[in-house]
Amino acid sequence: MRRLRPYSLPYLLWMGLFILIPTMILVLLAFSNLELYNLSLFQLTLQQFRIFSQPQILNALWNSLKFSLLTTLICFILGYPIAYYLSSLKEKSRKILMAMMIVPLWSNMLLRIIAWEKIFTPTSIINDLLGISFDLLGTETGVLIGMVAMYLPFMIFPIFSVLEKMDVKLIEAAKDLGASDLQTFARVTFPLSSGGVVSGIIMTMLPAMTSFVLPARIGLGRINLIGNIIESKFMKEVLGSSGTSINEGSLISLVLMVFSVISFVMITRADKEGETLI
Amino acid sequence: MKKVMMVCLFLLGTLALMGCSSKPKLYVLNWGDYIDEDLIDAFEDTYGVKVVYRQVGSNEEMATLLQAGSSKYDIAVPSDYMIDKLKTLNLIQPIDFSLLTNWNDLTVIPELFNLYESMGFADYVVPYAWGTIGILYNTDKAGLQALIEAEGWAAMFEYGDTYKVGMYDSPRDAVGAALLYSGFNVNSEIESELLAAENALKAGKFKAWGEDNLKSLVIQGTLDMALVYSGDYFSEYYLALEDQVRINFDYFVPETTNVWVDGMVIPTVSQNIELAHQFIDFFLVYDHALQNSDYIGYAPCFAEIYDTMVNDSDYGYDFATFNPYPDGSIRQMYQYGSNAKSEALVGILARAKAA
Repeated sequence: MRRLRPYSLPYLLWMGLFILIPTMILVLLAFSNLELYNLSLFQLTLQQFRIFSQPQILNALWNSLKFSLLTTLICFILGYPIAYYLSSLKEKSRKILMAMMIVPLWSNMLLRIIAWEKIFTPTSIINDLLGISFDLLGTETGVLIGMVAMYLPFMIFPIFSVLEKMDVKLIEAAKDLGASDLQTFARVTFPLSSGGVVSGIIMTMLPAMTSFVLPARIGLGRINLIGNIIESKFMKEVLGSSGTSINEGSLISLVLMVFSVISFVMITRADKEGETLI
Repeated sequence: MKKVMMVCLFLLGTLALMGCSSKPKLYVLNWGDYIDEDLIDAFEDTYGVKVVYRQVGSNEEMATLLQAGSSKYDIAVPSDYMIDKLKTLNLIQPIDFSLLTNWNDLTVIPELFNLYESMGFADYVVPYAWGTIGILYNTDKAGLQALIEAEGWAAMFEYGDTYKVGMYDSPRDAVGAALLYSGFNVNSEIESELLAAENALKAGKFKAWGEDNLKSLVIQGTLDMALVYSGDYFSEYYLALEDQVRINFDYFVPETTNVWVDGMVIPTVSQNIELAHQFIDFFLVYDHALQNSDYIGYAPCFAEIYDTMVNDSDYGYDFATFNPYPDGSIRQMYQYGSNAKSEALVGILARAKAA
């Protein structure tokens, strides 16, 4: 094994260059008045924190929280039964269903977002064929439907992978001992699948919270999540604000990163072998 | 271990060599689909050079690349207010017009020249294309055309309950339109006027905040009208002509509006100033300028080219809104102003969007 160690060097180098160093720069930018494009002496400062009193930032934070929680809740309600059903199927039909879920996932996400955008226009193909018009662009419902469609598989697969590996004998034993179907589910199946549920929740909630293309395109720019604010801070406001927009964007990014790290710790606690992390 | 490293180094070395060629290189920074690439090929052949062409989506992106300075761009094509800003940041240099042998063969349209000369960057730029901002609307919507023609800017800001309106998601354009609606200058820095603009944006009840997606939203019928650049309209108009589909949209330019101009500039970091001038000069050759303007389809900045495109039936650009500055209209042009001003614009838009 030791002889293989050098081969990990390129990737370790890669991680250092493109993950570790940028993170350090991000932290530095968030807590200082360093100008990224005009390097000079800088001071540590907390002045960037003032953005958290601006209504548009609070509004975006609230939207991120609201949409990610709602998406996760809906995904859980829809996803758990699907995962349960999948795990109970025979291998052949299970494979067909899995393929139907996974193959669309392999198409580009942007493409799927644009597809929803087309469906939600009043003159969509659905209107031509069926006479039903969904005018959902720019509405919260539209964004929510898009998010659920986008992230539902991330809820199904971790739960499915736990349920699939569950020992059937445990369920048989519960029934032998006189538990009803409902009791078996509530006291045996569900607790044993909780690792998958935690993974599923986090893997749905995090990308939903940080998404920015979907709200921008389906929400028509009216529904701003925190990702949209970060995009704007880095891409649009850069030259218009004597450079500090990058520092503000870094601070918001850092807040999101803290969320991610906490979530990662929670996953590793709930699922020690990492079997649900796909 | 050593062997692995050797192999890696060797691979890296070959990669680095593959990127090199002995020809001099010219680095050009431009918008997407904004140059006839046949002309770039012709320039490369004529001068025996390689043009490295990079496309960006916004002025801010362009400026960021120039400011970062990691690539030494020789040519960039930013717009009015950004040229103004780049000049004050000392990121672009004056153009040596004596090196441009074809400059005197063409005449910059006087109204346009006066506008940008009054902003003080005429020495830094060779204009490339220009146009207006205005209202793109769906002609299938009954009564909308009459309303827009009667009300002008007010149609966008006062009818959000009746019609679905889209606004540009960029501080300068949104606040600019609101200022024009309120009867003020697009470059106003007067607090009460900016406040009026902010209130107009808040009261506008816009259905969408977008950028270049606004035009297709209007054409699909998600929106009834939207603030767009003339270029947004032209590109959709030409596309529809080419595909021979029914045109269900039109573009209205209010009597008083803003004029945009994009121009070729030479960044201070340029390593090849002479070649940069030759590149600009190449696009000033009458035939080349005509071919390029016809490719882009926006209003050309030179009177000779404009005349041919509008009057020569081979070109046929004689539709009403092609001329950005018809007689009797009033035109303004964005100025950068100060950082504080830009920050204020960003704040106004953010508050208006959150309202």
